[in-house]
Amino acid sequence: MPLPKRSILITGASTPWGRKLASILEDDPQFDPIIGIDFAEPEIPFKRLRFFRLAPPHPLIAECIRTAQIDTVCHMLFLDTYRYNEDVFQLNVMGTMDLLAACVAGQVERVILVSDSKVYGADYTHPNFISEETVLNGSFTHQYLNDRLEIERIVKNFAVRHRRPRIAVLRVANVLCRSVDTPVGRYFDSAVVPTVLGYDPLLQFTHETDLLGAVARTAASDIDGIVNISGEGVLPLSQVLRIGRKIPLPLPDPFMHAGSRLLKSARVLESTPLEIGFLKYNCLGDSTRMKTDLGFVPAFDSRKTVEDFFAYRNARRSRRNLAGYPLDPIALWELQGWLKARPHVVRDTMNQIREFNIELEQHHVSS
Amino acid sequence: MYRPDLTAAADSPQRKATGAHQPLEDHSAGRSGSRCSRAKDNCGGRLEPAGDILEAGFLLKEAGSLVVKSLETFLNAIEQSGVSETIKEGAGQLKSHLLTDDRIEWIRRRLEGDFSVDEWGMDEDIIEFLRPFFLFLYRKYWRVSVSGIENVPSSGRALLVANHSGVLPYDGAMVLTAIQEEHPHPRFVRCLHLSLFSRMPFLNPLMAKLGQVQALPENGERLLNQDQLVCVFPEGVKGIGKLFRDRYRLARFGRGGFASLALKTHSPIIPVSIVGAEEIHPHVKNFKPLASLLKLPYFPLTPTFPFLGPLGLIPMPTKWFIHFDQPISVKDLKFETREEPLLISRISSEVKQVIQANIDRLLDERNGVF
Repeated sequence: MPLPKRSILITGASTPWGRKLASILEDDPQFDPIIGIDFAEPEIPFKRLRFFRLAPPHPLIAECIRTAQIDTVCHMLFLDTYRYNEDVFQLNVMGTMDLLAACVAGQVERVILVSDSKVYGADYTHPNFISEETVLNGSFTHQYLNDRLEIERIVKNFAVRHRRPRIAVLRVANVLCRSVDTPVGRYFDSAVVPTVLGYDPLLQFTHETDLLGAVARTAASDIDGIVNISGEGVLPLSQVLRIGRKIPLPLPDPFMHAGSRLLKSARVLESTPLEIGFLKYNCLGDSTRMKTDLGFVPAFDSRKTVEDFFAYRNARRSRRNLAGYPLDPIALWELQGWLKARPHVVRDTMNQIREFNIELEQHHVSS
Repeated sequence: MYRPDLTAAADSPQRKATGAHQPLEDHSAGRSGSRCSRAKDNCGGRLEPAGDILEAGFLLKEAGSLVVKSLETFLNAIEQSGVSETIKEGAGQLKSHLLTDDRIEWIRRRLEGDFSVDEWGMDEDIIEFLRPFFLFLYRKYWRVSVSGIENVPSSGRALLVANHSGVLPYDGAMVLTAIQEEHPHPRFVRCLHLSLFSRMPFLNPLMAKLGQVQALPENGERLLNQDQLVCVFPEGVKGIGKLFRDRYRLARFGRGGFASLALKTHSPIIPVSIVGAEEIHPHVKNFKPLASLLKLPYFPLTPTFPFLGPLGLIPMPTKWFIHFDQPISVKDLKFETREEPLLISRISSEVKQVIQANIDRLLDERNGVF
C-alpha cells in the first residue's frame, strides 16, 4: 500500500541544515510537493524542491501554504549570532510567531520545530536526566538560548489557544558538526579552553546527521509534542577536552567572566563562554521518548560525534593536512561566517593561504 | 552566520586554494579512526607560530609520557651510579613497582581520553584507583564488622535504607565497600547523596565519578528501573549534621520519599543500621554564623576541627558495625490509591523502628567506642 502523500514546506532551505534536510526528504517519494523558502538564494540547485525567496514576516507565506495545501512545516530557519542583534531576534522569534500565524490560517496539520535541550538550563536541582514535561524556568544571557527559550514559550502559549496545527518540538542536545558553527563548537574552538575549577559536568552530543535524521523521521511519522534528541552515552567535559587535545584552563567561578574576557583580549581564547552554569552542572535530556515514541536510533553516539568533530576541526586548522582534506562547499559558507567574526584568524589564514599558494607554484615549477 | 557571500579579501586566494583540492566527498563516519595517526604525523618537531597553536595540545599529551620517561632515566641513573647498595636496590624496586607497563598504559589512556563513563558519570578507573584507600579504611582503620549480608539480593533491584551520620559521608562508602568485599556476588551500590554535595566544587565531580547520584525521586526511579542496588539515607542533612549529644537517635525520616519510591518501582526495602560512624567526627556545636556565610546547612565544631587545621579532618578510628536486616517486600501489597499516603507513612515508620532497634542492639553488644 503506498503511503499517503505529504506536502511539506521547509523554511530556511538555503541554510546548511535546511539544504541537507531537503536532500533527505527529496529521496523519499511520500513527500510530494516539497517547497522551500528562505531569504537567500541557495548555492546548490535542488532536485525536486521548489524554492521561493520568502522570509517569515512576508504575507505571501500564508498564501503559499494555502495554495499548495501544505500539511507539514519544518521550521529550520534559525540564526545564531556572536553578539546581541535585534534583527536576528526579529527573524528567530517574531519570524516563528508569524510562521505559526500563517500555519493556522493555512490549516497546516503539523509544525516541526528544532529547539535545544539547553533550554532546561543547568542547575544542581535538576535530575540527571531531564524529562520533556519539566517546566522551563531558566533565564539566559546568551542570545542563542534566549531566543530558543522565547520560541518555546511562544509555542507553549500557542498550543493552549490552538488545537491545530499540532506542534512537534525536537530538543536537541549539543550539536557538533562540520557544516554549522554551533555554540558548543565555538566553545571548543581555541587551543586553551576555560573550565570552572572544581566542576566537571557530563555532556551529551548529537551529530548533525542525527539531528536531520530525527527531523525527517518526525516528518514521516505522526508524532507531536516535545522530544529530546541526543546521541547515546555521556562524556565528562574533561574527557572531551582530552579527546580534542585541548588544554583545560580551570578558573575559579567568580573570576570566570573577567578571566575569560582578559584571555580573549590577549587572544588566547577566541570566544568567551557566556553561560557558566553549563560548565558546572549537568544538563542532560532524557531521550527515552526518542527511542519509544519516535522510534529513532541515532547513528552517532556522543563519543563518536566528538571524535568526528575534532578530527575535522583539527585537520582543518592544521596547514599540512589541509591539502589532502576534501572541503565541503556547504561548510565553506559557514567557514566564511566564522572567519568574519574573527579578524585575527582571517589574518592568520590569509598568511597561510599565501604561503600555500607560493608552495603550490613552486611545486608546479619544479615538476 | 553562514550567508554565502565571500568577503572581498578572502575571495580570490581561497578559491585558488580550494581549487587545488580533491572534489567534494560525503563526510560521514570512519575518518575518526585515523585521528591518532594523523595527530602523531603532525606532531613531529617544530611548532608553527601562527596557525598551529593547536599543537600545544599535543605537547600536553606528550608531557605525561615525558614525566614517566624522566622518572625512569632518573632511577636508572641512581642504579648505575656509585651510591650504596641499599639505595640502588631501593631505586630498582621503586622502578619495578612504579613503572609497570600496565601503569604506563593506564596513564596514556587517561591522557588521551580513551576511557568511558556510564550514563551517571561513573568512572571505573577512578574507583579502582581509590579502592586501596577505601579498603584501608574498611579493614584497618574502622575494622568494619558486617552481619546479615545474605539479606542483600545477588541480582535485581533493592532499596537499602540506612541511618546517616558522621559529618562527612563516609557511611555510604563503607556500605558500598562492605557489599563489594563481603557479598558472595559483589555488586555496585548507588548511594543517593544530598543535593548539598552536588553544589560544592570538587565534591560534585568526585561523587559522580565514584558512581554516586544526587538524591532526587527521578534519579532513584531510573536507577531502580535499571535493576540496580540503591542506598538512601532518609534522614538527609539532619542525620549527617546531627550533634554528638543526639547520637544514635534517628532524626525525622524525610517525607517518606523512599517508601513511595519503593512502592512505585516494586523494590524490596532492606533496613541497614550503621554503628560507629557517629563518633568519627564528634559534632559538638554547630557554628551557625559561619555556616550561613558559607551557605552550608551546618558548620561543625569538633574537638579537632577547625582548631587543628587540616589535621582536624582526620576521622577517629572507631570500631564500626553494619547490619543488613531482612528485606521488607512491598511488591505484593494490594492497596487502593486513596490508601497510598497512609501506607507510605506506615512503611516509613516501620523501617525507622527496625533500624532504631538494630542500632540499640548493636550498641548494647559493643564494648567501647574503639
